[in-house]
Amino acid sequence: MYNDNRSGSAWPQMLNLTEMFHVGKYLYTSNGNSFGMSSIDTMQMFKTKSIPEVVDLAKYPIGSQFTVTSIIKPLPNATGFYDYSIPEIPCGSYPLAVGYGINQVNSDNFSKGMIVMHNHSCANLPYEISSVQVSGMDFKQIKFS
Amino acid sequence: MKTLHLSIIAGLCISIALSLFLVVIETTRPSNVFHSSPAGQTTAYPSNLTEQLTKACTAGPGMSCDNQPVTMSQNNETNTLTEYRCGQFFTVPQDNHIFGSETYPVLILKENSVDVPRSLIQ
Repeated sequence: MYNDNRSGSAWPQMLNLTEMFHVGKYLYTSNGNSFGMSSIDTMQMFKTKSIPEVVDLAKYPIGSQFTVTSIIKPLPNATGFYDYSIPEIPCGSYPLAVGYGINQVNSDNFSKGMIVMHNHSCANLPYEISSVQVSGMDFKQIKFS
Repeated sequence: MKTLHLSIIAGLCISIALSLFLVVIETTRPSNVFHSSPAGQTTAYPSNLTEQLTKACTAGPGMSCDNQPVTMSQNNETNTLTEYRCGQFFTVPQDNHIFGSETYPVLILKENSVDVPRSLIQ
């Protein structure tokens, strides 16, 4: 069953899946060997909905699974590139391109902060994503240096 | 010969009766029942999005939605999200760079599209 103290820090029993879903960009700055990062939330450029919106983790024994289905609709001004969007495996989020063809998307379109965040270790959460499926969108494997 | 004629007439009557029965069943079915429709065809649904989406998309592989795309209409007057396209799902590769891969999967959305990601969480 749900253990809110599994990793030494308390996690909320009610998992708000709407809050898990964020789309945005990273601002990455560097100065010599140091760097700084901040994020810009761009959720106002999308309409989203998650079903269910909230899950009571106590209802799911360890080892059991549940499915979260979301809808994402980019608004007309959403064309662009985003460093994070839908949560991915094992943690973090998939980069996202809106309004561009597969051949127009390359590594230069994304912030270096995206690489930094993907190299970051994962937090020990009381749940993990085991599979992500999509309908209606494409994906492309991009090499980042 | 008379028996043959009677058999043909009886068969026709049964066929007509069966057709009428199916037509009645189809026309009296509640409008909020999930319908699949051919790809590209738009069908308006009066019931709420959550119910339809749950029926159509949250089930596992093999459900009708996985095999046959469904499109719902958008309410432009209220500017609400009442449209989605739940076509065939495919699994997005996970980020394998921690295992030495230098590539990252990037999701690509079209303008004015409605896309449906779903995650299996354990």
